[in-house]
Amino acid sequence: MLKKLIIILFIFGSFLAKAQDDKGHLSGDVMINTTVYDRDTVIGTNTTQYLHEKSSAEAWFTLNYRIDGWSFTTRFDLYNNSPLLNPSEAYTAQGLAFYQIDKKIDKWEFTAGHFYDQFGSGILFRAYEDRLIGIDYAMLGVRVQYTPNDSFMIKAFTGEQKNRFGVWPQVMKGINSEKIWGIGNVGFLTGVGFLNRTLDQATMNTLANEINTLPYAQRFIPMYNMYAGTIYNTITFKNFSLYTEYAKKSQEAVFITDPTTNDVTLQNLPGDVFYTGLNYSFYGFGITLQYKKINSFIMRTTPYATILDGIMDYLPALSRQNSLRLPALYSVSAQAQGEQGIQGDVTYSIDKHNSFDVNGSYINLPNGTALYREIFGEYIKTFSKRVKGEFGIQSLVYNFQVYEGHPGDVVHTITPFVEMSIRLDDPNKISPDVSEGKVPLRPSIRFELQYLSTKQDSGSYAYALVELNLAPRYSFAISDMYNIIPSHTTADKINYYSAFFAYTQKQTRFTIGYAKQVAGVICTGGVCRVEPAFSGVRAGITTNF
Amino acid sequence: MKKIYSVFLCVTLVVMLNGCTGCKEVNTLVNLTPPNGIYDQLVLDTTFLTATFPAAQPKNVLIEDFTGEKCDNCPRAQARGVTVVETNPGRVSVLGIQCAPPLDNPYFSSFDLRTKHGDDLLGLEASNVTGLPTGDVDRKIYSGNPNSLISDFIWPSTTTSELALPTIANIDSFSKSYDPAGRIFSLKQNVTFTKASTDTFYYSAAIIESGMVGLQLTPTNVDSHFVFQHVLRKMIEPWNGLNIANGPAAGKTCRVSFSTILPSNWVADSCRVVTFVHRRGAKNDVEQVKETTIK
Repeated sequence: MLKKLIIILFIFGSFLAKAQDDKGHLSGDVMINTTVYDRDTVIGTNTTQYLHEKSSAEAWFTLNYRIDGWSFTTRFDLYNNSPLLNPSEAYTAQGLAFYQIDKKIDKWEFTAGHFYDQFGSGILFRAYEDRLIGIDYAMLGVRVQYTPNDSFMIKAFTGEQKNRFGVWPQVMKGINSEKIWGIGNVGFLTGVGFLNRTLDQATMNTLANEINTLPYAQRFIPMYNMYAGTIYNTITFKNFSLYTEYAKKSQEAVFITDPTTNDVTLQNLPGDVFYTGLNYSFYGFGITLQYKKINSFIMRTTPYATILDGIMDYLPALSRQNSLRLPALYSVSAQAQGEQGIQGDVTYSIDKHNSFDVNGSYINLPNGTALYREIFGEYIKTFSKRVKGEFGIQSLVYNFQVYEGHPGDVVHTITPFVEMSIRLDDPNKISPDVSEGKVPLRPSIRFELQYLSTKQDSGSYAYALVELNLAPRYSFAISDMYNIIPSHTTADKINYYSAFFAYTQKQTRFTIGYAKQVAGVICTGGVCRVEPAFSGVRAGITTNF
Repeated sequence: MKKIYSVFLCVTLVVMLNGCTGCKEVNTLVNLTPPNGIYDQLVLDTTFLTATFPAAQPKNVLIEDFTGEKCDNCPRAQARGVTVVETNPGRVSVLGIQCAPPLDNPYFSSFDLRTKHGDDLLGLEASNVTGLPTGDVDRKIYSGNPNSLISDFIWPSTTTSELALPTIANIDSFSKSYDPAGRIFSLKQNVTFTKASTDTFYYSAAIIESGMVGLQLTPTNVDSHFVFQHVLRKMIEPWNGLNIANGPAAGKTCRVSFSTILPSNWVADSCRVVTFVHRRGAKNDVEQVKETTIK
């Protein structure tokens, strides 16, 4: 670790010295989060942080320096008693978690160290970070990209996927190319990609030992190498856009969970994905249709990677990504083991003051079992320059056992909601020029009211939020999610209340809040994980420079 | 550049469509082939006493139909066996055992339905048998007979009598699997004694197949489109039964398992496995029978 630091400081130092003449650009960002845990046996906070550590912290400090076609990036990560990477663990480690040297030479670009990247939509390969749910799929290796002109690109890489402060021992290699072309008014972006992942000997030994315990009828020869390829194409014609992708992978050992019993078996399966999405927009009218079929397209560095670890690709979810608390309570991610579904979304703006959004999702397991259904309707009304309202209703069917990984009835919900935003100042009043530090505060208030009705899982909830904003500096919010009709008559009607404060000074934002949060699936960007209940104080600071 | 791109596209397509058949690996870590004797071998996995005694199952019946391709009256016996099975669905199993040479010698242009243990099974019931068809019901020796072999004319009535008797052995399938790629069938069953007995019990398993069309001698000619039914294909070793219990107490459960590879000329959909609990020696009486599909 010290060696890494010295080398990076040396390189940075050399170029900073050179920068005295060439004026390079130094930038970065910082994020620090800390949590204090307040045990609450009523809502079931029982992870190790509530019993032992009582507090935790995470931090990320990224530094990037660009000069003369060179780019140097490094990031310091810190986890102190953190549950972020695994909710049932108190993980402590810190150090340089990301370092990258990148150089552009004419039409070539060379990268060494860590890098993020993706092929096409990411169905075959995507290396990305989403620290809110503790995932960092950076690659550690080398990458070369050749871009001879604006319409053609080819790139290749080899390396290992980052695993906390180390790497997974499995080697990955990939090559991807895209070409933009056209016939008359019809435009095409066509791409192909190829990925290979090789299991290390230790993993293969473990795998072979496990297979040797199976009945002879179920045994198979596991493959060291998994090969996968993808072909994708986007057609654009006037206001239409059609994206289509087909990806296929070779046979390999994967763990398959029986959706009815949750029994896990080791199987030797190939996989494929077909995904297509159509977009059309025309004067305030927009329509999106998507179809996807997945057959055991499980792309992990090793079959022994669990939770969200070691995932090599990104499968887009066919569900609306809701932002309001109760409509987002039963969010879903794509099931790599297999699913088939469609999603449609229609938006229509009648005028500047009235618009609609209607969305529907219909997802099944390959055997036809219902996984997820959602019908969502929303009307957005701008009453005046001061007042804006959103009124909607959501109805969904959620296969609890598949998504949450333990037995439970299929959840049926109906959730009406209202959101109102009111500016308290005069929007017609023009602010006089002000000097730095004397920006006038623009007060506004926002309300949310939601009611989720269901007889399954933990029952029905009511939710209310009041948020006072004094833009651009202050934000205060209080909310309560009330288990108004528990599914079991003996259960307590629990309040999950929270209070939140944020202070922003230029690009730096400080937040602190007390919250009680129900256990369940937490999703960001269509990637989800099951998280335990939360009770405590969270504080954080973010900035960039 | 277009050429390079086209070549790259084609290579990707070929790799995807062929599933990378040229990328064969060597991996000797997994034992796909078991040590000698594991296939086609009955194994007594474990025995234990159940905490709760299950109710006794209805008594099922086994008919052993000793037959041959060159036995002109054997089609009649097969038809009678089929009728008994259809009359008592799920309660009667028939083993069509090719035996007693030269009656079981296949026609030159036909296939060979003889098994390694056909004559052994016939010898278990009687010695020096030269005339077919013959057979037994539950391997029992009925009064007035020197052995268990009886005419097929009385199979139906004898079967009806046997079906009405109680049994002290339950047979339940614990797990079953069939791997179509390797054509490997595995079965694990529990035998539970619902009453105590002083007898010694054995467990046997037979693979049978129906629906093969071939040559068969009939009283009038050689039928070239004869459909063979419930033909014994293989006895799992030991062919005369695996000793599972000596004087079992009530509630004693014996778990038996085996795996077998179906030859490529057997149709898995038409194959079934017949397992039965029986005595051996002075009395060979069958106590209970269970028939299970392969797939």
